[in-house]
Amino acid sequence: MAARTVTLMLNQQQLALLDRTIAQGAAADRASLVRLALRELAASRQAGATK
Amino acid sequence: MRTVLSERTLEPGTGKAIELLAGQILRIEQVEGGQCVDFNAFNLHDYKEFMHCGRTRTVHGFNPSQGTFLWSQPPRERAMLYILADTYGRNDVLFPRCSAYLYESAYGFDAHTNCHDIQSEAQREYGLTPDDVHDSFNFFMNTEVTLEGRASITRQTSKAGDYVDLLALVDVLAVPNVCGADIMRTSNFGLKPIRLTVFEATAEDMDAVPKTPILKSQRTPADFRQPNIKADRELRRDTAYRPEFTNVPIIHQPIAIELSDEEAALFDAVKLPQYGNDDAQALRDVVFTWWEERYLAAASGAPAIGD
Repeated sequence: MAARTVTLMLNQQQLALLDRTIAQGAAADRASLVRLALRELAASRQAGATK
Repeated sequence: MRTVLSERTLEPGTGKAIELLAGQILRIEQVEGGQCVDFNAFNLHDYKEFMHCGRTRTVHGFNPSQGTFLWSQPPRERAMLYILADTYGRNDVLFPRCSAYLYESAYGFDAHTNCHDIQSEAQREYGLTPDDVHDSFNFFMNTEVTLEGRASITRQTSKAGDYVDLLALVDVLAVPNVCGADIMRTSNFGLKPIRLTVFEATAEDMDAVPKTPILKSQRTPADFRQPNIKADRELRRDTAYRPEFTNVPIIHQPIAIELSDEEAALFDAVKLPQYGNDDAQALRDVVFTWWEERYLAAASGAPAIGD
């Protein structure tokens, strides 16, 4: 059950970059890649805040 | 042991255009110390390709030194020269060349040595005009950026014998000149001679150069829609012109991302306040900020993720 739905508006160039990243194995699909980005950025920011 | 191909002394107020072929080294050396040297470089076989300070400072910072490249301008963007050695270690790519206008407007001179006119006169030997002088790479020039965001010139401490070795990676017309600023701090309020030596690079010299990428975006006139050099001065509209901008039209596509409670909490923790309630923009920022931090390693000009 989703707590919130956010609708990204991405252009063809932005999508191409994400698709190349997916093709390199970072994630299974665009939505998964966005979630990965969110989790990793949050972890990075949290680690930075506790240093 | 390097073979010396030529030697000369640049007297104060002068510059010299030198054909420096790929695999040759130009040494720019202090004779007395404390002298700034302005520098232009052109592709010897196509003067429309030239050294670009903007590209160079973007890749290597405001004070490029040993181990960095002098790049040409977009869309060429090739490494033209490599700084093989730099015994002083302070150079500048922030300041433009000094010009006659500066000395007239600020100091009241009708005529005064200045880097633009010295470069022009040196380049004239190869048919170039005063309009062809480009932004200069300023060797042995100490500059800094103030907290207020302005660039400033400070005195320098280079000594006799300090030198920069420039290794040509392509055939260039290299044009150093003794900076004409004798009433500024640039060269400690003096004009001094500079020694120039051209060497044949050794295999060891060539092996010291890091590899730079060869990309399809490094275009040449063969790739241009308009490859001919315009030879008259008036600008006239091409009535046959039809724009062909890249990737136009830009078309946006919606992607719905369902966030769990945990992900929504993470998102709220990292989203930037400048986006207010616009979660779409805030999440887009998260995605591409993450991408930059994880993948972007293009400081050397190398691609992060290619096709």
